[in-house]
Amino acid sequence: MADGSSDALGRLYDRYGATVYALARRIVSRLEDAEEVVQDVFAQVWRQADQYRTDRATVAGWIIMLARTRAIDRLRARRARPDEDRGVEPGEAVPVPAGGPNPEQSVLSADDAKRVRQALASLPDNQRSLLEFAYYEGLTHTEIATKTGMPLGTVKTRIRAGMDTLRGALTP
Amino acid sequence: MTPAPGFGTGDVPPRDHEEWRAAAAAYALDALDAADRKAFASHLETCVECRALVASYAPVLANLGLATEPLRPPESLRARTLARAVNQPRPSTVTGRPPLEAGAKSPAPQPARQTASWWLLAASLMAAAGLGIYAWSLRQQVGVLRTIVSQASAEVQAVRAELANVRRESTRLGSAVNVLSAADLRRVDLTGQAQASAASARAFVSQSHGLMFSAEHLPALAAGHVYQVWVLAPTPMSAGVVTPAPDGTATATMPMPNDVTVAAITAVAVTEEPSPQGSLSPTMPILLVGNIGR
Repeated sequence: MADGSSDALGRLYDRYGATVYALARRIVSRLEDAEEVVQDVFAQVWRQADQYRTDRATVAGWIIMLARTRAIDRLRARRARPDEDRGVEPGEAVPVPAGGPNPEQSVLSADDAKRVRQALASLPDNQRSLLEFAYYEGLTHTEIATKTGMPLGTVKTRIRAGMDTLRGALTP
Repeated sequence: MTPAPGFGTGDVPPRDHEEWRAAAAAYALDALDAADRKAFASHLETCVECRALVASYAPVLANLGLATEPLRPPESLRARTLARAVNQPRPSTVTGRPPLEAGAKSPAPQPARQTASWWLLAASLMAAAGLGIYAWSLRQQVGVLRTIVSQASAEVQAVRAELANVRRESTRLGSAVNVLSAADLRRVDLTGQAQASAASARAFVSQSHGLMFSAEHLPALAAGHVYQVWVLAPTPMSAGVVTPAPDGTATATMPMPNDVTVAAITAVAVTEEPSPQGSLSPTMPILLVGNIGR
């Protein structure tokens, strides 16, 4: 764009595109769905740029939450139409595409990213797995209870405990 | 009251606020079932504590996403993404613009405004890159702490008000004890008259500590009225006014009217008078009266 605005969007994409794509792949698995999520996210960022409020979140936080929301929406829509789902099942290992990880594009510093992963890894297995069902698979309490066979109350308690632990570990 | 989330059918009333607090993390995660999510969203409209609690989980959610190992997207995705974004219909982003009249021409596109907002966003991007996600976490935490401080201030105000009430009650009870333990105490039993025939009362009179008045089954007062207690010595002298509780009981301690001695009191009476000060002389009829024993 001659007025320079697409340059700004391009810089946003260069900065966050790889993280948005990675999160989308982690959640929706299917390549074409992940690409759709990336396009949806940056289209939404473009539409709502003047609604972004610096006092609410950083650009990174805003974009990553848009990405998760759009990916979960797409995943749930897929789940509601199982006949159309021929892709990789959610939760299975996602192959790294040609080119591999792109660490220089990481939004967090290496130390901060490590700290987040360590915090997640430090959770008891029975908390981390339930939290991952909710965060990466978009499952509700009831769906997680059905999937795991755990009592609903146990699911609620463990997810809350996990979130509280992470909050304590990830906030200064 | 909106039912608390997590009760399945949603028709079980909330047991306490902890039920809502317990659901905040799941709400932030979007892990509540649809009905519970709707109920919690409705609760959030009026609960600043739960809004702060939900906000406190935002750094967790963002960090989990941002910590995802980056993957290099297909090279073509950049061009497709940018093209789709900038070619989508642009919403009317200028607020405050009056609605278009029917048949009026649409305003011309406003590239200057779009550019301005994008440069602002680009500037924010640079700031965000410098500060990192933990700065964002810090701002979120500050917001939560401000909310907590605000709530704590409100609680302190409530405790102070309660303390003032307790002190007033303590003073009142202390005065009553002083009257009742006075060596020169005289008791007067009052019986109801006229429309207050079901009422009864007692007055304990002490020259040194004043008068304590206690009544039951007092009729409800007309709006803007109080009960006024008189000592007859034998001229009626006002001892004070009292407003009954909704159950018809009333208790008050009052100083002995000036220049009145217990020895001169022949009776204690109660009338209904205009609030807040009562009257200079009793308004008939007398509603309760009792003669002092000799």
